[in-house]
Amino acid sequence: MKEISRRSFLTGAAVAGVSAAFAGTLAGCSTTQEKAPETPEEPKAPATDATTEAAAAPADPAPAPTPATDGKPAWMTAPDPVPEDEIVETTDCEILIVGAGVAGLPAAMMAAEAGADVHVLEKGGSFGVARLCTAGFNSDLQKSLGLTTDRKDFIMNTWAITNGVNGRMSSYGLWFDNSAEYINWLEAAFATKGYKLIPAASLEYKITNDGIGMAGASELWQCYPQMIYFANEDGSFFGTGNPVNWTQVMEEYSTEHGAVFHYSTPALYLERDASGRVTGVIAKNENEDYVRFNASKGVLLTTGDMAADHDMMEYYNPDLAKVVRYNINQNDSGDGQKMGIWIGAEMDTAICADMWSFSAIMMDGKLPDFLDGTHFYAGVASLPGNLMVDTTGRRIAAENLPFQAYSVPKLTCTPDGMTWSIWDSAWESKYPKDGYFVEDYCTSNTQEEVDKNVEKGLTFKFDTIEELCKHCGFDEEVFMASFNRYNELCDLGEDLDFYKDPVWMCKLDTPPFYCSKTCSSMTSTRGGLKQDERMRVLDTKGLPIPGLYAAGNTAGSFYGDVYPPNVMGSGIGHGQCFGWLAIREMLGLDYIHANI
Amino acid sequence: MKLSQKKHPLLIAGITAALVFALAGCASTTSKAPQDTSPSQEESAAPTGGTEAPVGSLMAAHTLGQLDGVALEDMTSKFCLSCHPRSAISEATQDYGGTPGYNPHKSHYDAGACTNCHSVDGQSVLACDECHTEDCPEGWIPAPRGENPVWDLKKAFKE
Repeated sequence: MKEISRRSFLTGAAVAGVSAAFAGTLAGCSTTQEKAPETPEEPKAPATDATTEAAAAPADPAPAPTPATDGKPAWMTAPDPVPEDEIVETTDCEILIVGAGVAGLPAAMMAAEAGADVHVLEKGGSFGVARLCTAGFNSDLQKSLGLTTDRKDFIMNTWAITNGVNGRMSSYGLWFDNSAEYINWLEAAFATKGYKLIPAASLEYKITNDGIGMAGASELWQCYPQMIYFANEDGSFFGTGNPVNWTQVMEEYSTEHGAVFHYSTPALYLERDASGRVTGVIAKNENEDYVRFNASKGVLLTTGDMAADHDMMEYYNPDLAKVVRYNINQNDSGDGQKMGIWIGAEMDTAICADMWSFSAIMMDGKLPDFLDGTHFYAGVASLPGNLMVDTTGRRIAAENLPFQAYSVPKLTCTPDGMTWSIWDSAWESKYPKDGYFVEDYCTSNTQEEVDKNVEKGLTFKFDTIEELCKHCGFDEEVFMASFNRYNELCDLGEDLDFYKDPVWMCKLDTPPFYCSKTCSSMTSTRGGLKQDERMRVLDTKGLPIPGLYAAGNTAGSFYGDVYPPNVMGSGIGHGQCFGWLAIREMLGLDYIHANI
Repeated sequence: MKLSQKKHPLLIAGITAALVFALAGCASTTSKAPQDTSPSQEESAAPTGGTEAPVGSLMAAHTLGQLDGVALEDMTSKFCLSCHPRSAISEATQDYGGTPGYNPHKSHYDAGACTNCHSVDGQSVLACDECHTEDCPEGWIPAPRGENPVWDLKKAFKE
C-alpha cells in the first residue's frame, strides 16, 4: 500500500498540509464556467430497447415505457431514455465495467494489464469495501502447501448436496479449472504491490466453526476451506488485527495500468445497436449530467447484489424478508440485474443469500449496540453442543452443521428466521475441547463472555427450564416436548431425529440454564442474470446477448435457492474468477472452457 | 500507529479552519449561482449566513458572501464542485480524523448530494456514523444509528 502522508497530516504541519491540498481547490476556482454540452452525436441506433417483452430481438425504436399494469413489479420497467440533447459527453472505449467492487476490480486489473482501453463506472464515491477473502482451488500457492482439492468430489458435492441439485453444474467446473490460474495471476499482481496471499487452510486461525478437523463435525456437509486471505508482507492479516485494504490495492493496480475510474457515476441503462448488440450505457455523473459510454468489446456488469432493494430481493426469495441483520452494501440495489432485465435478459428463477447463522439479537429485536461488525455472535450461543429451537420451541436441525449451513433450515423452517440457543452451566466441561475455537472471527466462547452478555441483557440465565421457557415465549407444549426429546436422545447417545454427532449430544441437566436469541445475518443475495460458460448474459431464449457479460453477485447460473454454505469463499472466489474470465473472453485470451 | 484520541479535536479544528480558508478563497468567482437561468432565486428563500449560521454549516464557512443570493435548490453538487474540484476535496479528507482508509468524501456508498451532509444554514450531519463511529468535525453531529451493523473503522485498516 502506498504510504499516505497521514503522519505529517496529523502533526503540527497538519493545517499546512490541508492548505496545500486546497491549493488545488483554489486553482479550481478559475474554472467555474460550466462545460458546454457537447453536440450530441447522431444516434447510430435507437437509444435503448425499453420494454421487457422485447427480449433479445433487435432493438426497435424504443417506445416510452408505460407503468406496469399487468402486475409486474415497477422495477421491471425500464426508465425513459434520456433525450439525446441532454447527453453532454460521449466516451468511447473497448471495455466498460459497471461496478468497482470485489468482482469488477480484478476485471479492471486484467483488462488494464492486457492493455485494453477500459473504463469503470461506480455508483458509490469509492471502490467497494474489502471483504473477507478470495478463494480458489489447486493454485501454485495452495499446492506448495499441500492443499489440494479433488475436482469430481468438489463438483458432485457442491451441486448435488449443498446446492440442492440447483444451479448449473458446469459453473463449478469452470470455476474449479480456472481458479488456479486466476489465483496465480492475482498472487503475482499483489506481489508487485508488496502483498501476499495466504490460504486460510494453512492457518490455525478459523473465522468460525467450519468442522474441518474438528471433533463431532457433521458428516453430511463436507466443508471446502477454499478461502484465501490477503496479507501483508510480514504475513499479518485481518486475523492478526492488521487487515489489507485489498480493494484499494486492486484499484491502484488498475489505475497504474491505465484503467479509468468514474466514481459517483451510476449506469442508468444499457444501449444496443440495431443488431441487438450491447454497445454501452447511459450514466449520470457526479454533476448529475448524463453521459454516454460506448464499449467496442463489451460491457461487464459487476454491480453487486440486490439486497438493498427489498422488493426485488423478496420477489426472488420471500424467505429473505425474515433476515434481521442486513450486513450489506446499501448501493447494491440490483442495478445490473435490472438493466439486463430491461433488455430481455433472463434472471435466475430463485435466488439465495450468503447467510451467517447465529447473529446476536436483543429481546427488542434490535442488534446489540455493544457488538461491532466482527464479533457479532453471542459467546457460546453458536456452539454445536447447544439445543437450538425456533421461537415456538421446536428443534429444527442438527446443531453441528458447520460454517454457515445452519442458516439454511433456520431461514426456511422457521416463521421468522430466529432461533434460541440453550445451554447449561456445565457446557465447558461437556463440550469437546477440540470441537470449537475459544476465539474466532465471530465471538469469544468463554464463560466470562457469557457472564458479560448476561449483564448486558443479550444472554439470559434461569434456575429452571420452565422459567427459561416462559422468558423465551415458547409454546410450552412444543418446547417441553423438544427439550425432553432432546435429553432422551442424549441419554440414548444417538440423535435419531437429526443425527447430530454423539459428542455434541450433551444433556441439559445442570442449572442454571442459559439462552440467547440469534437471528439470520446476510451479506448479499446470490443469484442474478443467467449466463453461459463464456460469462455472456443470456436472453429469455437461452442465447447470449452480444456484448453483455456479468460476474459476481450480478450474475446467475451458479447458485440455486440454497447458498452452498460448505464452500468457504465461493461468492468472492467465483465472482472474481468469472469477472477475470469475462475480460479474457472479450480480449480473446486463453482460458479453460467448460461444457463446450 | 493510531492517532491518540486527544489529538482529534485539534486535527478537526485544523481541517475546519483550512476548509473555511479554502472555501473563502473562491469568493470572487462564485458570487453568483452557475445556473443563471434559474427562476427560483427570487422566489425561494435564500439562506442567511454570517454569524447567525451554525458552526459547521456552509453559510458559516462561506463568510465572504459567496452564497449570498443563491437559492437552496441551486446549491447542487454541480454548484459546489464548480469551485471545489473533486480531487481536492477527496485529498483533503484522506484518513480523516486519524482513521486510516477513512475518507468521508470517498464514501463507498452513493453519498448523494453534498447537502446530504453539509447543511446550508443548519446542523450538518455526518452520515457515515449511521454505521460507523467516527468523530465529527466541529459543529457537526453524528447521524442517528441505523439498523445495520456498526463497523468500527479504527479497528479496520492500519497503515
